[in-house]
Order: sequence, then C-alpha cells, then structure tokens
Amino acid sequence: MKILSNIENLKFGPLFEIVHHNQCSPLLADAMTQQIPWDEGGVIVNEVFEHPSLDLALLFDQRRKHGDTPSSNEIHELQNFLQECKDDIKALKSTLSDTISTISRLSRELSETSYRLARRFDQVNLSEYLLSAQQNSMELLPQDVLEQVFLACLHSRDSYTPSPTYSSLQLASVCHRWRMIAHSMPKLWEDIYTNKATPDPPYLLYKAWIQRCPSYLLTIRSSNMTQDMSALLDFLPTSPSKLRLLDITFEEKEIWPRVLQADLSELQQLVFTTRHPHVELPQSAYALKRLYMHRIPISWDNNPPPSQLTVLSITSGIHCSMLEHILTHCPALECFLITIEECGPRYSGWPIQADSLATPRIVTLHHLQAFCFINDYTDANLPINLLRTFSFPALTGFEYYADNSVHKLSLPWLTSLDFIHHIHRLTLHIPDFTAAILTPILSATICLEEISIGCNLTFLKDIIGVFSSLRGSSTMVPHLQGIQLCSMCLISDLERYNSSFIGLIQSLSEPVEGRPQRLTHLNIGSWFAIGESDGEFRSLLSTYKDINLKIYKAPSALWLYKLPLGFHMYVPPFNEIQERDILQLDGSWKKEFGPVYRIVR
Amino acid sequence: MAAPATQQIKIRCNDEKEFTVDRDVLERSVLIKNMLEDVTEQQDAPIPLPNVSGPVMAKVLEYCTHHRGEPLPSADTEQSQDETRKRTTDISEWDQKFITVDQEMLFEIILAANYLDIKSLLDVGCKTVANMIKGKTPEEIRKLFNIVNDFTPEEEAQIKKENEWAEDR
Repeated sequence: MKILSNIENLKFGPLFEIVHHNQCSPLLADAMTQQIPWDEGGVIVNEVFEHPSLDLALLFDQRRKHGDTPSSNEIHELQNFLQECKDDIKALKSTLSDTISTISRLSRELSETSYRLARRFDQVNLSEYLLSAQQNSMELLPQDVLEQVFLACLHSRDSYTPSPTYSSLQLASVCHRWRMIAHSMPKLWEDIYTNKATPDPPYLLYKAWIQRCPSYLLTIRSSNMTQDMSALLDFLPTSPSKLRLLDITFEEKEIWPRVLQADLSELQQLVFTTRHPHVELPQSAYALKRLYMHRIPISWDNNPPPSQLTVLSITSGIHCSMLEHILTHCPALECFLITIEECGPRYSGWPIQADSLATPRIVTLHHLQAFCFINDYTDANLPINLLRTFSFPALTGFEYYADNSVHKLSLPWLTSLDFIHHIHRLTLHIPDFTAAILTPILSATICLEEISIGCNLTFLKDIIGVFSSLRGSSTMVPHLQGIQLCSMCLISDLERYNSSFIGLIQSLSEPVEGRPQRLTHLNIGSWFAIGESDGEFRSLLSTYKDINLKIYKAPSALWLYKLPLGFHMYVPPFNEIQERDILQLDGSWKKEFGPVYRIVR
Repeated sequence: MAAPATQQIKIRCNDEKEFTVDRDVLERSVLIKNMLEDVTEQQDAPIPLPNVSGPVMAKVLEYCTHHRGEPLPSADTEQSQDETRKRTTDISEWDQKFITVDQEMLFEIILAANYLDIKSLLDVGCKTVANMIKGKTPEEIRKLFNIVNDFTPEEEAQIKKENEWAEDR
C-alpha cells in the first residue's frame, strides 16, 4: 500500500504514457485484486506497475528479507531508470503543456468556426429569401409601369377604400424602391385629405408633403371642425405650391381670413361649410370655376360671386333679387344647385303671380345645362316661381328634390316651362308623386332619355304601370333609355311589385315600331338598408340579362345618389353609375346604417 | 366582288413558338404596327418578339382578338383617357374574366403589354394590380407580392410617425 499511496501523488496525465507493458509482478497483481475503481486510480496503478524496472525495484523488498542486497549495477540501473522517468516526465509535461495549448487554440477555433458557420447559415437563408424576393413579380415591373399602378391605386376609391392621402402614404411604406418611386411622383402628393376621425397633420408634415409636389397645385380637404387647424393655416400662406381645390369646414370666424392669405390665384374649386355669417368670398381667386357653399347666409349684395364660375351651389338665405344679383354675375354658369331651407320671410320678393305666363324673364342663363333644386320650403309656389323667373335655353338636366308633399301641387306647372321640351335627364323625388303627375310630364318631355322618380311605395305600382304603357306610344318619351324608381321602403316591400317590374322590362326592353330607343337601364332602389331580400329580385336579375338592371338597398335614395357635385350634380347618367358612386356615403352614415350594398348579379 | 382577304402576319416568340395572326389584330400593338409600317415589301419571315413567351403571347392575342376593331387611343385622346382612368378602376366584365390569371401570368401580361405598347391591356393589368393593392396595409402588400421590407428600424419609426395622422380607416 506504500507504493499505492505514492502513486496517488503522481499526476494523472503522464501515467498514460506508461503503457504497453504486459509483465505484472505478484505484488502488483495483489494490488490489482483490491478492486480499486478506475476513477480512484486502479487502472493507473495497473499501468504504472507494469513497467519492468518497477518490477525489479519491487523485488528488492523480498530479496532484503532474505539478506540479498541489490548490486551496484541494479541500483545504478534503477537510478538510470529514475532519471529516465524524470526526463520523461519533464518531456511529457512539456508535451502536455503544448497539447493543452493546442486544445485551447483548437477550442477557440472551434468556437469561431461554429459562429461563422451559424452566420453563414443565416446568410444563406437571407440570401435565399432575397433571391426569391428578387424573383417576385413586382420587382420585374419597370418604374413607369409601377407608377401607373400607383396612380390607379390613388384613384380606385370608394367609401370603403382609403383616401388618396392614405393610399399615397401606404404605397410609400412598403419598401425602399416603392418609397423612392412614390416620392418622385408629385401626383401622389397633391391631395391632402383630413376628416373628423383624424387629427390635422402637424406643420412639418405639410411641409414634407409639399416638398414632394413642389410644382403642382394642391388639393386640401378638411372636414375637421372641432380640432385645431392651426397647422394648416400656418402652412397655407408659406406654401410654395398653389391651391387648386380647397374644401374646408370651419366654425370660428378668425379661420377664414387666414385661409384667404394663401395664394388662391390658381384656385379652381372652393367648397366651404360654416355657420358663421358674412363670410367674404376670395376675390383673388381668378381661376375659381366651382363654388360650393353650405350653411352660409352670405351677404351677397356687396360680395358678388366670381364671374367665371361654371358650377355654383348655394344654400338658404336667398331672396329673389339676391338670386338675380348672383346669377347676373355668373353668365358662364353651366351647373347650378340651390337648396332652399325653411326660412320664412327671407323669401319675400318672388313673383306673386306664379301662374302668369307673362311674368318677365329677368335673367337668361345661356350656358346652364344642369339645374338642381332642393326645396325644403313649405311654399308650394316657390319653385315654379323661381323657375319662371329665369330662362335656361341650354338646359338638358333638371333635378328636383322635396320632402314636403305640398310640392306636388307645383309639379304640373313644370310642363308649361320652356325648358321642359329640351330636357334629357329628369329627376323628381317627391313623396306624393303620383301617376297622374307623371303622365303629363312624359308627354311634355319629348327629348327625355333618363328619368328618376322617388315616391311613396303606395304610388309606385301605378307609376310602373304608366311606364309599361309606353310600349304602345310612339310620341311619349320615344328616346327613353333609363328609368330609376325608388321608394322609402324595405327591399322586400319593393319585391312585392316584382311582377310589375317584369311587365315593365318586357314592355320596353325590346325595340318596337315607332319607338327608336329601347330601355337599356333600370335601377330599383329601396331607401332603407335594413331588411333582407325575399329572393324575388334575384330571379329577376338572373332572368333579364340584356338590360342593365341594378337593385340598390340604401339608407335613402336621396343620399344613395348624392354624389360629389360634379357636372351631373346628384344623379349621374345611368350608364356611368358605378358601385363606388352608389356607396359614396360618409363615415357617419356608415356607422349609423352599417354597410350599404347592392345586390349583384 | 369578294372582300379582300385580311393579311396574315407571322410572329415568333422567344421560345420559338410561332403565331399567324390577322394584321388588324396584331396592330393593336403599336410596336408591331410601327414595325409593319416600316416594312414596305411583304415579308414571309416571322417578326421576332424576343421579350414575349408563347403562352403569354397567346393570352395577349386573345385580348387583341376580342378588342379588334375598337379605336386605338390617339395622342389627342391620351389626356382625356388619363382623366377617365383617374375616375375609375372599373374593368369590363370580359376584361375582368380575361385577366383572372395567376400572379405570375398577370405580371407577364403587363410586361408584354408594356413591351408591345398595347395601352388598353396595360391599363387593365395596372388596374387589376391596383385593385389587389387597394385597402391593404404595407405589410399585407409585402406579403401579397413577396416584397422584402428593407427599411431600417429608424426608417420604420419615421414612416410610422408620418402615417399615423392619415390612418383614416
């Protein structure tokens, strides 16, 4: 055990060098039989004692018991062996140190290689991803084609798609290439639109916006009445771009003078809504062609509208002499919309003898092609008096909307007006509109191509009957191509007249002798978004495919067809009605009534 | 007297696929129209179209055949057509059905229309892509077209700030 205890002091490493010796002394064999576990040095003991010199040394002990002392040669041999071992140990320690150093170096190299390998894997993955992205179809499109796509995105809007402002920003947020292209397209940045749902953009954003369209004319639409508009107003006078269209809603009087400080010399369209009285018109807006004013009891006497206007929309607060004053100043007017609200004494001054054909025409509007009259006034004679006051030799479109049933009284007079003979498009939305009123109108409107009737459901069946009977007439509206019928009812209520609609289609959809034009468009609309179709109309839609048949379900037919005022005002030509127009309702309507939709084929 | 036979023109695509097509159909392409006008003598050799493959050309010819006889947009009408394009992304029923193809083919058709200078077809293609894009967030657009978001985090933050006031949906 003495040897074993010595051996325990030996270092672990070099013992592995003492191998490959098979001779084993009996003492060593005894030591080995003690079953010392490997990890406690058992195997090491085995390897150490296998060396022949060690065997010799062990024998000294047995020989000493028998008085046999080792010879000087043996001692010398053992001393040599000892020295040899020491030398070996020294060499082995050096080797060990080198090996440890090598292992350490290799370990570092392994670590570095592992790291590089992992990075390479990442790079391979990224490269593959980038490569696949390079192969994506959008990357193949040249810049000019992508620009066309962007422009199409900008203008592909209905009430469910974002504003141009939003679209431009989204396009510029996809990737570097798209951003670069979008920022190089001034057309994407010439329209700034904010509404009540969003805060006004800060001044710096307006500035950034302008930098993207430095030479273009701007369109700014803001319906933001309640929130701070200072950013917009600070921006306007300093803008290097000029305003082309301004659509603004404001409550505070101080706002308007600040708007007028902007360069309005190129302003073509101005829409403003305010309750504040005595708003001054921008006299510097020499290019202004379209003017829409809402809820403004403007003082016109000292404030004539710009003479070059082609479209004018005014609301309320008008008396006859003032209207004469306005229209006299707008000889180029092509489209005129007037909304008369219930204001009582304000309407003094209209011709009293409404039925007098001798009433002089005080103003002739030579270029007026479209006249839209929204009458919330209770005086039934007002519209006819107004229409008698003016002469419209070029008028082809006439639209009349009224909520109050007393207005039906004035409608027969329509047939005695000069312009009725050259009207092509006629819209009459009056609750108590009956077949008896319709017949003389159809007799008088010889040039009529399109007609839109809105009335109570009660009268609808007879009105459909009047239209159906036109098949046998070669003199009544021979050019009629489009009919629109709508009522304040559910879609299922309208479906009760399904057979009447079928009769109408069958009567007019085929050309007959004496009638050069067949019916090509039929629009049917219910005023309420609630309620579901019973399915009758679905079969109607699937049966009559050679006629452009559209069935709408909306909060109100009036709103249904309320388009942004253009040349055609409320109701566009039927063949131009698109789904996006029909769905043109603002956010509050959407929230109140939910999605508005049409039944499609 | 019999009506004069329509002249037949041969074209060869980049995959050697050849088509023999009525001249008026091919002339929907301004590129080919100009090429034909430059050639005074009748040639039998097919017109090489190195940028269009056979399958894509077949689709383009289907479009041109359907719209043959319709007036080609002149330079004068370009501006008014631009205005019309502004107002609408509506695509006619036939065109819509025609352009209902996989994304790869759609872009091939657009590229071919651009190369062959067929404005109406290019317009249909661009409107179709626009309709795919509209109403989508940038992330949805990237996913749809496999576009890599290569903005740095700083750029992303700036874009987010710029966009937040206009999120009107």
